[in-house]
Amino acid sequence: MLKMSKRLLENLVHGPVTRLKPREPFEGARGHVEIDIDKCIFCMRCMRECPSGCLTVNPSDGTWNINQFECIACGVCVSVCAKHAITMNETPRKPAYHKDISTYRGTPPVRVAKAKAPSEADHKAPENEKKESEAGTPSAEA
Amino acid sequence: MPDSNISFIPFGPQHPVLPEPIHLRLVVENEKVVEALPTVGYVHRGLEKMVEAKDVNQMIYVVERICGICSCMHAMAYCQGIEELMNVEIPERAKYLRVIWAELHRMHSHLLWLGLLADSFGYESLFMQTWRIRERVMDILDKTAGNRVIISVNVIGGVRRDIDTEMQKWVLQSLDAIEKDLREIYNVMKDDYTVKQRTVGVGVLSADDARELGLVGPMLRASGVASDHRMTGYAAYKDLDFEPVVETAGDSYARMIVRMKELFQSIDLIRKAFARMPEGDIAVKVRGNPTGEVISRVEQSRGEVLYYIKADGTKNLSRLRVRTPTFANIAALFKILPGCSLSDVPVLVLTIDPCISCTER
Repeated sequence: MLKMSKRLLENLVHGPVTRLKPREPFEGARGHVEIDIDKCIFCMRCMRECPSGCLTVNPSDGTWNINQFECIACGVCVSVCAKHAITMNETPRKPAYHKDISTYRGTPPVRVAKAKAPSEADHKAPENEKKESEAGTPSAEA
Repeated sequence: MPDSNISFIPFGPQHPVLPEPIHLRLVVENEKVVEALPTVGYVHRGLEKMVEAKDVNQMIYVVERICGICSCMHAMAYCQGIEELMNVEIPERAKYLRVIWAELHRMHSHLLWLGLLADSFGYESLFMQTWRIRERVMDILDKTAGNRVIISVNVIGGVRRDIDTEMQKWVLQSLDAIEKDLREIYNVMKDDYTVKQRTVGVGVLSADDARELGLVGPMLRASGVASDHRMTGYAAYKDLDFEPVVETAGDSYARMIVRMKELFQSIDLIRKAFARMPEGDIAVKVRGNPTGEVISRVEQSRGEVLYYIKADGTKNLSRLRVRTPTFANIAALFKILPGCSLSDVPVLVLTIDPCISCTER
């Protein structure tokens, strides 16, 4: 008991050790995922690599949807995004009443028509699809 | 009825002292426990089955969620297994970083356990002081890895984050402060009358019994068996010379002392790792899918975890099997509970450091 008394007295005058929420996040903390939809090319890689399956990317109508309540903020989408459109915000999201899905609308790039096949000019597949590696390729954030 | 003094007491699955649901069917004669039958099965989530739905990389984040407290070590065991299957040699710096985060996880796990133990015999102020120290460890994890508990730093081929020199200085300063605070707590835990009354000579397990029951981790080491899977030298442990912490008494007190000493050992290991960590890359690019089967073992804070991984060259594994340390340590309850007083049951259940979400996955 006496061994603890010094500590107990210190605790009386010392401020709280825990940091109350909402609090100033540490630099590089994983708060929530954000996207700059203008940079997005709708390659769907984030959707394929996402472990929780919270992302739905739809290149045909140009929507990028995230269910923030299913998102585990692991940061995989941030590290695989080829155009660095997805970023990790350091602050956690505010609580909400409804589990809404956030939808971002952008313009999917249209494949440029080749001289040989003009009939495919309106094909809506994203242009970088051929660059994508096989699913299951591990990637690391530098 | 001839055995009128015998009664059955259900202990758990909901009990103030239990952090997670485990049910014990206690047969008591007056105040003395005659027989104890543990039952698990309240938090099964079927995470191993998820290999069918999630690919090799996505499974890292699933295995991390088997257990929050040792999430880093779960991911480490899984990644080491996959790396072995794919013949990937990860950079030296990544090995050291894995050790640092694993030891930080061991520290916060042991501190949490010490608090729960103090709480189990009603020493509330010691409980709060232990968790006060733990909060500093959580801050280190938060600042270095971006999250407090599930830090998601391990990937196949290395780690995702680096700890730069400036951050290393801050971590080492924090560790100095933590060590100073830990000394205070250690002296209280070691010598305090209340603590000794409730732990010394309670739930004694001999070395032979411990070995026979197949116990792992601090439970085994507290009975005098120097078994620590880190000694096999996975990750960077081969370069960090250390000896397993062993106590011979085999009682609750010895288990507590082993875990306290391991806290200081972890601090030493982190210091050594920072001092010896080479410069260089933190991850290598890994392509393709694994084939074959492997057993990967890692020493978690509660003992040795075993991962059996079977892959057939597709992006999904064909089988994943995890044997967690608590699964092995629950066997100790059959031995230490019979004969003890009913009031000692909460303390004894906690001394095995039960992690039921690990056990049931």
